[in-house]
Amino acid sequence: MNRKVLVIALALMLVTSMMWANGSGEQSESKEDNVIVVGLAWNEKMQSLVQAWEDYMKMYSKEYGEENGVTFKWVVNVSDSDPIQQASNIDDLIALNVDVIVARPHDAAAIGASIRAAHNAGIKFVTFDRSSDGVKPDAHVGADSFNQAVSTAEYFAELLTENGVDGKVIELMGDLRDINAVQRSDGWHSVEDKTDAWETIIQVPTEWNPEKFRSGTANALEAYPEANAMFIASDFAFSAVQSALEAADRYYPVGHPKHVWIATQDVNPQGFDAMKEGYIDVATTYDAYFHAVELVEVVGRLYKGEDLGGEAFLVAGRVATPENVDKLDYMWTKEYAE
Amino acid sequence: MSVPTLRFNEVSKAFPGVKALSNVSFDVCSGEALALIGANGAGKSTLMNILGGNIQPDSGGVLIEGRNVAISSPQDSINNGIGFVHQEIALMLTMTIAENLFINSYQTTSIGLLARNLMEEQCKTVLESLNCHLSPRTQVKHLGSGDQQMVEIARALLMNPRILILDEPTSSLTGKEKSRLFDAVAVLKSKGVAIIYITHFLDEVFPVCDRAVVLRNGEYVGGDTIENLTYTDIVTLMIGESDTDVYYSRDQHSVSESLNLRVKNLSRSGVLKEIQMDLHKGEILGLWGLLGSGRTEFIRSLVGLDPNDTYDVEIREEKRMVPLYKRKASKYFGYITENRREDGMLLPSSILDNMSLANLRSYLSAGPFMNDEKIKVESKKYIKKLDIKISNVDQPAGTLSGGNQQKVIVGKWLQRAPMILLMDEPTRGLDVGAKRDMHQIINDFVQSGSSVLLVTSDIDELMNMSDRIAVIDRGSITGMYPQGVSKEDLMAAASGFAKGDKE
Amino acid sequence: MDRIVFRRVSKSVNWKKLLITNSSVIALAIIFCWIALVTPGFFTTRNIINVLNQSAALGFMVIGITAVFITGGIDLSIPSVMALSGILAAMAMQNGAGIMMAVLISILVGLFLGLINGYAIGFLRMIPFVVTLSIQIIGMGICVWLTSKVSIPISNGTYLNAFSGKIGIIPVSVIYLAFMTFVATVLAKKSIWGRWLYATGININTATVSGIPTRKVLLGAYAWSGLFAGMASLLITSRLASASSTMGQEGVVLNIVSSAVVGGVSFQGGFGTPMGAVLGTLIITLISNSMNMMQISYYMTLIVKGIVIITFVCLDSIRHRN
Repeated sequence: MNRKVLVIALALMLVTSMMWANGSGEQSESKEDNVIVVGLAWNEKMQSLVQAWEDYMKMYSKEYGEENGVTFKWVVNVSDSDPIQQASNIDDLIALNVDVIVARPHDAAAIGASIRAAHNAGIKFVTFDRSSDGVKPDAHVGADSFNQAVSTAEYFAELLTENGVDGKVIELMGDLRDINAVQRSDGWHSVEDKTDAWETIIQVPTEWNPEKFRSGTANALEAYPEANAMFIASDFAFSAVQSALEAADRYYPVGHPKHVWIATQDVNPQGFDAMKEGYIDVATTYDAYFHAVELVEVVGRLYKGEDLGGEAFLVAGRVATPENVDKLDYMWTKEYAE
Repeated sequence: MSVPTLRFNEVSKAFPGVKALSNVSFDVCSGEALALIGANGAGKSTLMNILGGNIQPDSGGVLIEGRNVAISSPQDSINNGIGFVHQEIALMLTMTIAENLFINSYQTTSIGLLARNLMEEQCKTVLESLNCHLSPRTQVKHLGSGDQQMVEIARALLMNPRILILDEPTSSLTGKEKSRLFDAVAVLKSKGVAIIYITHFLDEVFPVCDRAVVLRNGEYVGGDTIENLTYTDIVTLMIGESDTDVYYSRDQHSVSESLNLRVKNLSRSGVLKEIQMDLHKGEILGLWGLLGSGRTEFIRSLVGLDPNDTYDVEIREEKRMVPLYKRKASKYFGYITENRREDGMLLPSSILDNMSLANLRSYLSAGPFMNDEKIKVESKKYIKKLDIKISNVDQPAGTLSGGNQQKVIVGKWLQRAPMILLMDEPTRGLDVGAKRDMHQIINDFVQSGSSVLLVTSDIDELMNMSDRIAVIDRGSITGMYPQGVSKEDLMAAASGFAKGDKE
Repeated sequence: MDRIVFRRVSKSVNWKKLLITNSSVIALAIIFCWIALVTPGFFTTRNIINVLNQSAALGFMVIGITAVFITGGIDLSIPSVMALSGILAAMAMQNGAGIMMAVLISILVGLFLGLINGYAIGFLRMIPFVVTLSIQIIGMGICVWLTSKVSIPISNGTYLNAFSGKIGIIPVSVIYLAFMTFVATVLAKKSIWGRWLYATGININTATVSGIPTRKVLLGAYAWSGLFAGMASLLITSRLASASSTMGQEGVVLNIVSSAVVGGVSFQGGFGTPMGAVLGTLIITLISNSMNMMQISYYMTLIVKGIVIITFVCLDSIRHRN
């Protein structure tokens, strides 16, 4: 028993002496001129998309740095989809006294506490991809879901008109609790209201669940055999849609009389080949590269002392078709496909 | 006669403090069944462990067909053609008979797959040789215990042993299953296998065996062909003359007429059959039975450690007998067992923690908090009284010698002073002085009106201490004897000869 | 004779024993030294307080599971019990409940779910792993159902201050943890419940025949664990200023269990102290904090964490063999 007390006492002495020896500078990162230390707090890193973002950020920050005479230093941590761990990780970044914290919030409400803590320590905060519900960050960078859907829909309208098709559309929606899913649907319908190229005959919510993508497609085709087109909120579950189409004998590339006209979003690895082969007619990219570019520029502006007032910087993406999908630059889905 | 198949030659083995075997010699011949008889602790298991390669003799050796062989591992034992059938059935219940037979010697085809057909065929041959007509594909769990025993024997026979040891093979068998086993033994004999048949049940010896050898305290004390022996001869050889000086001679004391405990019906299927007994105030009731008779199971059931089918027990509360619920058993019973590791002690905990364990509620100071000073004072009193040898009271109980551990447990219960103390082999492993102390303690304990139920394998201790002796055999009480009954009667009763009362 | 022999033996194993029994403290010291050498900015007051603050909520849950571990069981339901307590309290506050009500709800919900676990395990003799895993899943289901995966913000300033405020530079959560560690230590060492708990964990048969109400002890251990999960939710929801079902994901169990094991609380029952458990929590938090400070890659962090846990489980089984 006494020995244990002794050991604890020794450990405490060690700690305090080191703190004393070490604690002279409360500043943990020695600040050099023109070095931007960015703390990057991922909520998870099990998707290749996250790794793609990170790599593009580092890549573009070199380019940007050379032009603007600054050097970026990235401090990255990951919190395994645990909002508590993410709060701790951001605390650690604050303790490191980084210049700007970039976080992809796991929980839109919980991130507020971290934003407040960073601001209290005088550190700029940018939310990335997902936004904060309550407390406002200095800036937000993400995808422009509304305009992403609009550009797809506008191209789709031209396409149908050119081919003289009267569109009867099955819409597979995302998770309606996800703001991105809602905005994609809104974007789609805003174009539909202005054109008479098609009519959406049924809306199927999928909760982003691949199984519901499959069953939703199958059921809708059953109920509406006249359907000849689809709008799919994201192509990440395209293989599920494909199997439903195959089962209904409707999976044919463009040019075939049984072809179902398909507009979708993102150009994920799961949809990339289908588009190349003409099964998918149009999609607007979810551009990891341009998100990263936008982020680096926002961080650079914040570092220079600009006040962005919590503005949202949204990236809309590029229209991809079977003709051009292979030639688009910076397609993360191509570069990170296995 | 030609060279014996197996000969023990002057085998001796000592364990610290005990001479387990001294100069034991005897033969077993091809085609004969030899009964190896002896009370608990006579040295049978040590001898068989030597044969099985688990322990090495200090001197002497084993000759097989006239050649000296060194058996230094279980594998050596198998290689020398020795097969064992153990008392407990150790089969994988969810596997088939064939799989069980080949559990440690799976046969494979040329490409490394299991040679199922080959194994099943061999399995069938072996079973047929025992007149046992079972499909090799039957799962063992679907077999009765008699058939399971046959599978065990078949497994031993697979190695074509010259010598087969059957260790208490009938302890889990019914009458009909037993006769099948005896038939199987006869078949084996006719094939020239030498059989060592170990048993407590003397009634089995006569129909099955050709000769008997008796061990007592690690010595060979006699043996002859079965025709020249009566069961009385065997019992006399087993018991011998003992030196009663080492036992505490108990004061005569009066046993009250009123009861402390009445067991009306305690049953557990396959283990205990409608056990009934009374325990008087101030009485020491001896419970006599051989290993596997159900005596330990009875005590464990009574105290609530084992499950029961029926638990119909009454206990004295003030002046009346009231039903005792099993959940409340620990309120009335103290339990001392030789099996300290499993049920007796908290080995890693300190001596103080162990000694205060049964009595924690009386050491509370304020609210839920313990009065450690009082625990120390009280426990030290008993440490002194029981002469427990320790270096300090905080030392883990597991570091004490067996005798001292036992005293710590006794000290725990004396602090509590329960109405009934159940003692299962309380003096096993204790030296002479400690035994006497323990007897004195037991005697003092009942003076205050408490009762003791004493289980012991030491027949002299039993006869010295008990006011009455109950005999238990195969899970039921087969006799109740007053003080002064003869050893021979007790031995015979426990070995299945006397049913119910004295001859 | 016995006496002399014993003394000699005890002296010769002393160093090894000292090493093994105090492994968590020694490990803590070593980790500290190592980090101090590698990471210059580590020993700042700010970061030390940061680590303590991060440990607080986890520490509560670890003190909870310690009682269960001592009985030889496991409680996998802690994360969802914690999340559910927090969510219900947050919903109550959304509907105008005050801080006292919120605290009461958190604690009672935790206690109630703990009692369910304890009853199933102690009285119905169900297997702890299965029971607590089921409760985890059920709890998670209720959380998602109640919140539709949308987090509930908490704006009650009194509540936030009471559990995530600071006194001077010391976060109140650290003070709560220190206090509860003290309470748990006193109960473990000095109360009859502590004696019962350890006796049950070391040998339930011996404890039963010695008149210890072992079924109630099991009930109590799981109730204790649930209670502390409820209390942990106070610290967590106030720190995040919100409550959500994502707080209760299964991964949290890994941190709880590894903290306890690193703190010398044995998987196999009978051993461990609340103090040790809290030290284990500090070590686990330190690992992730120091990895962050040293800017080691995420994948490496996972590997290091795994190795540390295996090392301590190994030490635990060595200790058990001795």
